[in-house]
Amino acid sequence: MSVLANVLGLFDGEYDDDGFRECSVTGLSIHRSAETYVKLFGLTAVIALVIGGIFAFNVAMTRWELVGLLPEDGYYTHLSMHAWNILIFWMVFMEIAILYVGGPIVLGRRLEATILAKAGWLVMIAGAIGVNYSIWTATDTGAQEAPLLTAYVPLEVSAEFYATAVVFLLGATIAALPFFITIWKEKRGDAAKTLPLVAFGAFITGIIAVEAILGGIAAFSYALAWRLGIIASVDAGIYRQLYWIVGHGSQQINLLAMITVWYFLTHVVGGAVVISEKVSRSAFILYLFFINLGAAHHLMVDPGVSAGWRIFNTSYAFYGAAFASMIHAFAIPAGLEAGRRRRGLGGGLFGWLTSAPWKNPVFSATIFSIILFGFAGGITGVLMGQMQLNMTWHNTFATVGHFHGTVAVGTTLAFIGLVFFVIKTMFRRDFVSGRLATIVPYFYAGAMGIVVLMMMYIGILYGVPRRISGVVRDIPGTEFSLSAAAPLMNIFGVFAVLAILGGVLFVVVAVGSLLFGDRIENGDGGGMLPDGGLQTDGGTSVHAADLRGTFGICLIFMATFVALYVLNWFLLTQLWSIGA
Amino acid sequence: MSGPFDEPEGNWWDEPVNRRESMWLGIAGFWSLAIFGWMSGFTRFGDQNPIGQTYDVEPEEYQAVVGEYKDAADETEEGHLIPPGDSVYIGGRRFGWDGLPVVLEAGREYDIHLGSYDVQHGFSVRPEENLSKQINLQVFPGSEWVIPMTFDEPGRYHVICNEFCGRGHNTMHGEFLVEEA
Amino acid sequence: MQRLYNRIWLLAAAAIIFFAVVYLGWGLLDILSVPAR
Repeated sequence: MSVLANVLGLFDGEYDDDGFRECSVTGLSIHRSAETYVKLFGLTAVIALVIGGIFAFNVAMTRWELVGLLPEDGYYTHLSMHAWNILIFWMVFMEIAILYVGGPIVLGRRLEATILAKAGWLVMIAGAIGVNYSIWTATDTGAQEAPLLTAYVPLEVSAEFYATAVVFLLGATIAALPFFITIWKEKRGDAAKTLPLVAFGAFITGIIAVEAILGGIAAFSYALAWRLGIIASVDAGIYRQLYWIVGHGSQQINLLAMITVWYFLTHVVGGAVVISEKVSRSAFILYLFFINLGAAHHLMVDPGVSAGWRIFNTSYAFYGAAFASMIHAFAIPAGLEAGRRRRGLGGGLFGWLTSAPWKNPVFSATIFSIILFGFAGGITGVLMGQMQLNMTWHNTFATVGHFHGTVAVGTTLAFIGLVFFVIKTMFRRDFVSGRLATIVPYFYAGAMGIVVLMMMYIGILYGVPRRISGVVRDIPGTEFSLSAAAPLMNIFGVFAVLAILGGVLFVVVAVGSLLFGDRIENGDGGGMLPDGGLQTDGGTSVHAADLRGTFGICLIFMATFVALYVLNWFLLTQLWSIGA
Repeated sequence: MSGPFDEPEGNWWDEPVNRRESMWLGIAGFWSLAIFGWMSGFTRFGDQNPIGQTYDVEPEEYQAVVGEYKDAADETEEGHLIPPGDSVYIGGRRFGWDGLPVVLEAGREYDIHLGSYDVQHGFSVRPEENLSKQINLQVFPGSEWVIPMTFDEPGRYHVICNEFCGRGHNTMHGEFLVEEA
Repeated sequence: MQRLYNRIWLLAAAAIIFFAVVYLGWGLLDILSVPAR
């Protein structure tokens, strides 16, 4: 088959007269409207990942001062390109796709108001191109600085940047509307109806997204008004408080989307069940109310905001949302354990896990995402969110380690798994190399995991800052240096190259499969189905299921959490006396 | 057993919860409240809290205040400031820390005043001989933040900037020289 | 309780209001009530 025919055929599918087809892997009834737009947004997301990944190389090779790729004049532009394309564009395009899966596809409905999906995509593309352009040209005139992710006022960031960022966010809002309309139509018929858990999770994700997007529009519009001279002055503290609603909120969208994807994929490829609708839904509701309060994490060492506000918000209301995360941390592996033991696939403590389809990259990516997000990203997030501990983490390289733990390892891995899954089940293509596909999650998770660990050590043990192009070798004009961090920086550098190679491998396998992979015929599961196929007999209680494997894993997690907590607090108390 | 795509029917609320899940909820719930309690309580019994009075002040005005302080301060032979009283004024600016280097007495509490003359900066300080003892605070134009600090260990404490403030940011450096009383 | 969990639009509205008050309202109040020097 010619490449062109393959590319043009990517959006084809065999649908019945009403536009539906039945997925031979999930059993879901998929409408053409939903599937077309999942493919569109998913493909766009991967393109953003590639762009952001290219800049990841430049950024990492500059921070690794042995290479010192970019000079100070240039580094911040590349850092901004990396940040916006990965943290915002790769993530948000993917999340719209996930909303369309979690809503219409799981519910077996058409996507409503597809004109808005199309319009939203176009506006998002316009905004994304605009943001990329305004970052890339930021320092051309000499009077301006690169915005980084945050564009903190009163830094000289162009009005075009703030305007195009608003455009992108408006586009995301428009693209989210078809999802909400679909949910509204589903619920309209019957108030007593309970949405399936994945659809419920997607709905919560959507609402968190709305909060985040509105906050971002507010922050960027405020800054834009100042840059255009509509208002005379701008307050750094107010901007930061508004900005971080989208700054952290966008990452909470990631978290919610990722968790929804975890429930989805552990079920489809691992045979997981829901062990308690009540408990899992309670966790999602805790997220709904409290997760966006975490925007305050970035304001822990700011003047202006009171200790009371900081403590209440950073804790997501008495750690309500952290409690919710710990609920999912149990419920998701437990669902896998209960489902697999039921199928006779568990023996002893961890037999249900060791017998799982580890060669299926969709499965391994999901599991690594869960483990690494929890241990590396999640724990460190709570630690550095504690108001006092934040003093030792804020703006250090350890912060960068935290968010690469959550986003680069956690969310990106989950989305890698999802892209592979969609290639098989929606694009109906086999992997161009099954072996390479299998390797991708192991290689990427392993390498990026080491990168994350190094970033954290370098930040916490040596106080090496983030947002700086060179500081380890020397600080120009002084005798002071952080060169003690150089050995760990070398490890960081080597593994960063490997991790980026892992990303390249993913893109090569993904794009290669789309262009050159064999077509998968209808009825063929493409190797995705768990042993015994997908059966849930609905309604039979799992409360008597043996969950000791999951319980053991969670106890290990808790022990790690407690140990790191005590260690961090002990180190804090060794500092000199600070504060009123 | 239901899956995450199934629409749960009937009364799912009263389905019993697995015993181990219930135990986990107890453990996680307890831990959540414990870390909240510790963080809150530490503001009362702890010695390291990023808490201090904030004032609104125009950047030019703050710069003038720091200027007055520098005039009132003594200087050592090397030109390092000796604060006239208990207040130490620091102005972050592109690309240095106005008011530093300053000589302080070990074990004495000073009110450290932080503000910026231009854009946001990151006040990041550590003793020379122990790089892992470092703290970081955000410095705004338009705000004066007063944080009491007592450096018990004498030595040279290095201050760098860890918030992007423009090209040239890499060079921002200042020092506290803490001497035995 | 199960009925409350099914009232997703009500829950969403309540959550948005809660966020607006606790994060935004309280925070802005703090920032805007900082005294002049």
